[in-house]
Amino acid sequence: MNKIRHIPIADGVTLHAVPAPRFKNNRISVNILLPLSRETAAENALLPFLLRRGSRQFSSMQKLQEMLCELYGARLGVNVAKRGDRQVLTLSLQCIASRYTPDGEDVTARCAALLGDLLLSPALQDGAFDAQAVEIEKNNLVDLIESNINDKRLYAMERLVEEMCRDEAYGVCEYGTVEAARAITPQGAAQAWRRAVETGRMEIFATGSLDPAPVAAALQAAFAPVRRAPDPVPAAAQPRPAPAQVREVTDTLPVEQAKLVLGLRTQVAAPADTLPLQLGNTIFGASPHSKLFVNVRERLHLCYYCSASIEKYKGLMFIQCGVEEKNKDAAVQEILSQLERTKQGDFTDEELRAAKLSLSNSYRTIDDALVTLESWYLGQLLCGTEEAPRETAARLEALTREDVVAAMAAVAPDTIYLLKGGDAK
Amino acid sequence: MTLQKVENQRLGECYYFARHASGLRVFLLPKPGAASSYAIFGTKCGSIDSTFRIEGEADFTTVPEGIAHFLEHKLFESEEGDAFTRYAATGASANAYTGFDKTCYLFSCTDNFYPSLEILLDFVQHPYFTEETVQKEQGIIGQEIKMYEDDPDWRALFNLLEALYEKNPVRTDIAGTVESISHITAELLYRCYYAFYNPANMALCICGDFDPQAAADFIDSRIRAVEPKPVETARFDEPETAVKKEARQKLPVSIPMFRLGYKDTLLPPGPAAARRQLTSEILLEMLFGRASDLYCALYDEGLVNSSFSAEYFCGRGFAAAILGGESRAPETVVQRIRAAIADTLRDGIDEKKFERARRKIYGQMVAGFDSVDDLANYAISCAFEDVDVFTQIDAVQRITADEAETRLRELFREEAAALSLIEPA
Repeated sequence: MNKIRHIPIADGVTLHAVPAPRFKNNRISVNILLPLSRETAAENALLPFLLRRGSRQFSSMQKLQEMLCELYGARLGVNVAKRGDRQVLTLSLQCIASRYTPDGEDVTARCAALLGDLLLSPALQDGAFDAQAVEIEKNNLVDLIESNINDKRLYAMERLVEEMCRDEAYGVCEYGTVEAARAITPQGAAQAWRRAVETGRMEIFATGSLDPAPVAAALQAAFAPVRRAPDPVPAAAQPRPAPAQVREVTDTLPVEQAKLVLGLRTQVAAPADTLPLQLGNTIFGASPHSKLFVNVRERLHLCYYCSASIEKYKGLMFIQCGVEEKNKDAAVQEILSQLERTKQGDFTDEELRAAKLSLSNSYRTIDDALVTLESWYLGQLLCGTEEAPRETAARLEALTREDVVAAMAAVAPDTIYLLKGGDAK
Repeated sequence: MTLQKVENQRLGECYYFARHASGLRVFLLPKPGAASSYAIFGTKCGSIDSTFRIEGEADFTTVPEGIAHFLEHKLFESEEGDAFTRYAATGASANAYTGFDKTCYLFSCTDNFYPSLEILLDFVQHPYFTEETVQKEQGIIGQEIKMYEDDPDWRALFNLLEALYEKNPVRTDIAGTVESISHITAELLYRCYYAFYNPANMALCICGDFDPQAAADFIDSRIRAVEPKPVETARFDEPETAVKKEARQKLPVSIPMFRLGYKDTLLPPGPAAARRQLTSEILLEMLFGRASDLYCALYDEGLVNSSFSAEYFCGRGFAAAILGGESRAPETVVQRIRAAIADTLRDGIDEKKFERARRKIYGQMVAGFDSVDDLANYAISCAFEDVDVFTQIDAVQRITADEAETRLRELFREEAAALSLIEPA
């Protein structure tokens, strides 16, 4: 793969052109990086939803959607995510490359201009967003925040994070709180928009077979009138130690299956190299040959799923498991005992080898979709590196048992969360 | 095996087809430059195939609901251990799924393609079931079933299917029930296996960067020469009307969910059925897509959010248009949907809107050819529906507004409609 090109668009706004010539689609995304905070999370989260409704040029959602159909179903996507203590707002457009349009029409440059228009030219009146639009999107945001209860696995995970990180930015939901969402005004939303486009660090990705020059030109033209005063990049937070006493939290809902989530703290967080930790996590609980799958599911039949994951920006580890409530203690005991074995280096050479192969496979597969490539390189930027997925995969080869033991040494439980069946309180 | 090359100029794509001596159909889809390869080996045996007879048998046998899915879980085991353990040595990411009308085993890998393919072809052709391993699986699948009982989207769909269908087994949950799977024995699993896992009833699709001839030679020597034994699944005399108009269930959800379904009549599998499916998809996009009058109006009145969707849900022996989403006033939304259908029936199809919807569907289909996984999955569906991989992308250019008009009049029959509601507990 060719090198990534970095093209300045405005102060603190950079276009990263990731060449991926074999794709029939192109994808352009604007990612606004903001500090995650209880005060601003909801109003920031509302922005992509307001912006995707239209602009001065597209005065209604329907006009915009009709244009997207005409651009061969160009997909306008919005996303709100958290990466460590940052909130990331994403507005993206994906469209087919000109060689696949029946008349050879170039839709990519038009999409770049459209994205710039949606981001920077919303239809404000007297310095405020349209009141009706704000009302609709506020209600949808409230629904979105509350809808986590529809997916019990996700709900349990979010509750664990909320409890475990209650005095850290990461404990804030990326969409903010219901109360904060309800309090947003059309003026407040416009202020949040101005703050985001003037001060937010923006990483724009153009991924696919596209020519970056017209994309850059369209974006530079869109940003020309914006007065930028970007916020300084905050220093990475140091990982916290786990508490002396593990905290237990239990919620009750009328569910058939209990959901167990364990939150643990490691002492390894990006921008430090998290690869040995990822490898340890894979041996422990992130593949069908991991200790958790083989023991908790296959040997003891305590669950259908039991797996571990890493949040690399904070150095957190999460273990999720769906169990019968009566088996909860047995599951916790087995999970912690398998963790201890992994920490002690009590795994075979085959387990180490299998974890390397499995992890290498998942890294290398990132090259096969535009959205995963984009997400990978955004992650690289946040860590101050620019490694290709296959380069990271190649580094796995040299890692030893001692590297895994060192990375896993400090992993310790912080909070154990259980969502159990019964009448809600 | 002799390879036959099929090309598509518009997409710049091709595939190779071969038929093994056993009757197995093999589709090889080269993707030069792809990082991963994806192989999928499937049988035309899904949850709806619970009453069947093998050629030569006088009577049909009915097996417990959920057996196809149970068989999928158990096939991973052999005397030597678990297939996942074998994949550990190749790094492939392996999985399987059971649908209404097929069961598929798959892996994705970036290295060790042939050793991974060897494992796939081997374990799917070697059943090994014992009473002991069957009993163990009842616990794990029991947990899986309970997980789905808590999933409101899943419940909304199956409550709708129960309301739409009287006899067709599409109305029963793919995994069966805790009760039904308690009747599964090793002997029944063998009986299903030998009925449906005959190579003549199966297909193998591979997509990725590999040499087609080398892959064909590899496969040729590893498929067992089994005599083709056609299996016949019982036909159901399903009425054209819905069983009941409405189904309601209370679950812990944040806001009500609805699914409105119109049971469709059927065409025998083949290009005509495929074209009808595509026409239905364009029609649904036009009436209910993001650019439609109805969606934009409902959204701006706060009656639906972006979870609103419409799909043409179909497979072997069943087809329905299903609309759904979340709404605080689901009954109002349903009334408005019915009114929008009535308006279109009265006014006829607007050519401009039809053209926009068609462009969008075309763009989406082109996008589908970018993903190694999606393409392999699409190819196996096409194989089982007796449709060429390129039929639909060519057809989408030729479907006319008149065809959509005909579909409009056939599809939305009130006597074939049912509504499923999930209400907050």
